[in-house]
Amino acid sequence: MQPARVEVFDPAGEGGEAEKQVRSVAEGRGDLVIRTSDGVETAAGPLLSRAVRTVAASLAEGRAVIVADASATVSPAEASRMLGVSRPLVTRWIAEGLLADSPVGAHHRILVESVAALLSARQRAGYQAMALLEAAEKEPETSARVDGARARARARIAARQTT
Amino acid sequence: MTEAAYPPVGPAYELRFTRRALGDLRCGHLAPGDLTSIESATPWPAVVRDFREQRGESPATTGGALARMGRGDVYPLHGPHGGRAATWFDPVAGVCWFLGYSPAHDYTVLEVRAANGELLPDEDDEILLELEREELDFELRVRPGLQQLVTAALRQPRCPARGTVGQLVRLEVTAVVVPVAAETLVDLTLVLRLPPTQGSTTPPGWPGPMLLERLAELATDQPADTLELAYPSRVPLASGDRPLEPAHEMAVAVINWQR
Repeated sequence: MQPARVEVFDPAGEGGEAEKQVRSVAEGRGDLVIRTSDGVETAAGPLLSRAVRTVAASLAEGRAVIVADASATVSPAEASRMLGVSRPLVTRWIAEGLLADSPVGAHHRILVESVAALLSARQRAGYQAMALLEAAEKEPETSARVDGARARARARIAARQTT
Repeated sequence: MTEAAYPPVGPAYELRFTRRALGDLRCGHLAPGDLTSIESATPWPAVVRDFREQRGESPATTGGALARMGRGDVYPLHGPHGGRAATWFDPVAGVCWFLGYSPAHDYTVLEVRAANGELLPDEDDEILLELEREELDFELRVRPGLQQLVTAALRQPRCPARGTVGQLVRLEVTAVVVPVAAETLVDLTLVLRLPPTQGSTTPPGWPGPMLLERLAELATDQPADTLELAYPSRVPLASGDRPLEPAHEMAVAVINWQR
């Protein structure tokens, strides 16, 4: 059995032509047709088209992309680096079921799929929070949540100043 | 000796940037916890990589805290080409903050900030942290069940998939497949049974009046402003449709969704 594949694609340092190509694929619609240099054309179909567009969309935004088999696993240390958190937090998230553990013997091995899903969820939550804060002054219906968050933030800052 | 028998000890925390630090790194448009995008976008990726690798292992260094910061718990982080950064660990919030970066070989910029009381996270940094955690709680609670319903609805178009998602909201999801030229688009209708929550209190991150839009986002994994949304008065069925019951139901439809 082949080992699970993990590949990193980083747009940094690529030229303007590569950027144009990536943007064109990311913004296109419909299923892709792949033409190789010897002129052979193959219909990519909906699944492969969606996979290529998903990668292209992130590359077009200047983000590096990791493509991995869903069955690939990483150690808690690798997961903590990918997620930008400490290793004890990874261990807590495994215990809480937020990260899927596929242990080898007594060692944690975390499914890359679950790391990627949590990474995406944290990214979405981060940008949603920014949008809420920006909208708070314009849209009064969102400000109740921001007001609640502000009260907790102020309490934490005040506690910090008294210690 | 195994990891299970000897679990890692030490604080459980995340790594984040203050908004001032994001400005230093020319990444003011990015979310403070989105390290991957920040590392890709900044002209100084190495210092972000060092932050991730060194502070992910320990929130402080063995080399000692920075002097002249007005407190004894701000630690240095050296960039590989002489740049200087500073970090601070807040055990209460569970965050190791990246406070600022200067490509110069000294800490003058950070010392000035410290003198002005602008070094540590400000109120908006803390508000963003609170909101982000609420959003994540809500998403992790609702999204898995909602996506199961979407998968079931896509498997059997025009057949409503029903369920209580996250032990919280009762939903009916129906997909209608619309072939348009070379592509296959989907009209996805989400019907929310009222009252929207089973209990009298709403959980953290509850979107309030934006609930339908938030559910559409979580169903499709796309931001609401990129979706074509409609608020239908009729709901598709195996043959034809049925009227929405406004006293008991609210609905949103994602039109021409390209999966």
